[in-house]
Amino acid sequence: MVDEGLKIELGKQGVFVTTIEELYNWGRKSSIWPMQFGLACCAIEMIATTMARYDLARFGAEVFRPSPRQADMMIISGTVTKKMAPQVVRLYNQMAEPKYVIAMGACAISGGPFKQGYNVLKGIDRYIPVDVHIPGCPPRPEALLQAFMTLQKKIEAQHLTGAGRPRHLDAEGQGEFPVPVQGEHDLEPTSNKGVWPLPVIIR
Amino acid sequence: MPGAGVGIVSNPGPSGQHSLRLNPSHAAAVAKFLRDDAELALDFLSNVTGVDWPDKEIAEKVKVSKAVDGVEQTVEETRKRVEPGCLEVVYHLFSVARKHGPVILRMRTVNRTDQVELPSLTSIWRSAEFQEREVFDLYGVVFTGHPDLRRLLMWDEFTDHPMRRDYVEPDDFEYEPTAHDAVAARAAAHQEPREGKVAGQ
Amino acid sequence: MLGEGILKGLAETAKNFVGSFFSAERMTTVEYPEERIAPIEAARVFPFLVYDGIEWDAGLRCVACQICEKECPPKCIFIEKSKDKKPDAVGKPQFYPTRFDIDISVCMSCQICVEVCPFEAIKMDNVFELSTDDRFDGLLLDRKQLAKPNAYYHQIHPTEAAVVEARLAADRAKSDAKQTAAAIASAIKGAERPLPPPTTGGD
Repeated sequence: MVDEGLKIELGKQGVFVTTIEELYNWGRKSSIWPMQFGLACCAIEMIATTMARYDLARFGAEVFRPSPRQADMMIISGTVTKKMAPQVVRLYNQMAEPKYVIAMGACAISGGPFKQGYNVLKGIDRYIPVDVHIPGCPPRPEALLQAFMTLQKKIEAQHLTGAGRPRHLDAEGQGEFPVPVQGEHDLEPTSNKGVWPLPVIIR
Repeated sequence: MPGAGVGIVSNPGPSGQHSLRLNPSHAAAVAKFLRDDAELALDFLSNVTGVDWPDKEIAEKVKVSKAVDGVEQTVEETRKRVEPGCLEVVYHLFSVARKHGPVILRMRTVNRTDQVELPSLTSIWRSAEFQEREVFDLYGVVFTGHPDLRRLLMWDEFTDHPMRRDYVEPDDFEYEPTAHDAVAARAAAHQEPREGKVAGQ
Repeated sequence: MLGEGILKGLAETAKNFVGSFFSAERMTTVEYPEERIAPIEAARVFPFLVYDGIEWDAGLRCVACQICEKECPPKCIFIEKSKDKKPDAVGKPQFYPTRFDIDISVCMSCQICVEVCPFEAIKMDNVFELSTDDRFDGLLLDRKQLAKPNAYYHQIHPTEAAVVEARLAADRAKSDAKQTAAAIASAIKGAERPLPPPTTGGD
């Protein structure tokens, strides 16, 4: 690792010093292409974020790809119903690594105000790993931009080797996430224990 | 229309919207009349919804002559009987041509368990198609004559009817940090008791 | 003319594009995070608890009446009432909440808790940059995180705060007047009893 002061000094001389990790992460974070995936009201705020006033394209999310194969990120915006949940997981599986998930809005994080509904999945992080959660009902477009920046910081801080390395550089990393089956009374399984870091709740 | 089984169900609430209770066997004919009549012209079915009337336990006081200590006496006895419940479907009709409404129709099934058929009014008002599917999905009322009766909101393999009174939600209460009342009772199974407290308190 | 509508639309876009280099008002993009749109006064995101004075623990207005907990539609507030009483900002002993959790992954910003609070203790905040990757602890705010000073309330909702202050001052004046009237009444009563019988001439 090169000392910061030395980097600046060399920079003044016209010599640019960096590491592969920095360059790799810079490339990853600056060109995240989201997938066109809106479920409910938060999708309207997501569309507003892509419009002129707030402009998500300034952050590298230039185009929203309709196909999961071409997208890097999925913004789960809106209530995930139990009927839709297997499809969300399937779309996530079809995305190529590296892929990220932002859970936008109360419904995507935890089921939100409809949490006790009969068809509402209590948070999409039960089945797929979520990188950033944005609370709000719906969150402001600036909140989505701030979440995007949080995700960029998270990517920037990732090391490419070692325990915390991203999934696509990890041979043992989970590639495909199991799709829940729509059973007679509920989705089976109710959650993916390997993905959902549920804490122990003390009453 | 002679012989049509129609009764009036009054609504004591503030809206004062009284409804017509139809006999299921005459429902199609009555509905056609309501739609085609020149004066009424109820051409717009705006809403179809369901009501679940659960079984009611009625305690009646009955005067019975019983032998008490060898003497015949008339004693008041409380007899409990279960009045069977039913499923009901409510239709809201408006007239776009004449600009009046709503006219409310009701139909009741025989019971909640096995005799849950009612005639479908889709052939008369097309907007009933999806809405009757919803009532079938959430209450379990089977509409005879419906062109495509399958579940609408829940998936096809689902077996319960969520809007019924006796529906029990499946157990997905693993994370309820601010649980109250019924939700707290269900979430307790997934939570650790605090130190010093016995589980279940 | 065929295609007139398209040409009109393109003319508008061209005006915006070229004009954005010359005049600030043609440039619709507000470049978050460097530029921010000033929040309007009625903006609301999540609730916060108001405290008077310097100490949040001592000055918290909430008396744990639990009305907001009951009225919250998605039941995202959890309150535990204290067993003892503490003097509040005016010195009157009141209960206080030993636990006041709001789950902002469920809160739908409806403001019903603010509307029903009889003690002006809970108000709506407008901080929205709350995205996080920790969805369990990061999105469950406890009373320390929720407590913010009255000065902050005046800063974000000036007109509303002025009305609240006037109302609280009026209530305090009323209760003070009642107290002084009661004190005077009891003083008079205390002075009435041991009065000597009037001396009449010629007993």
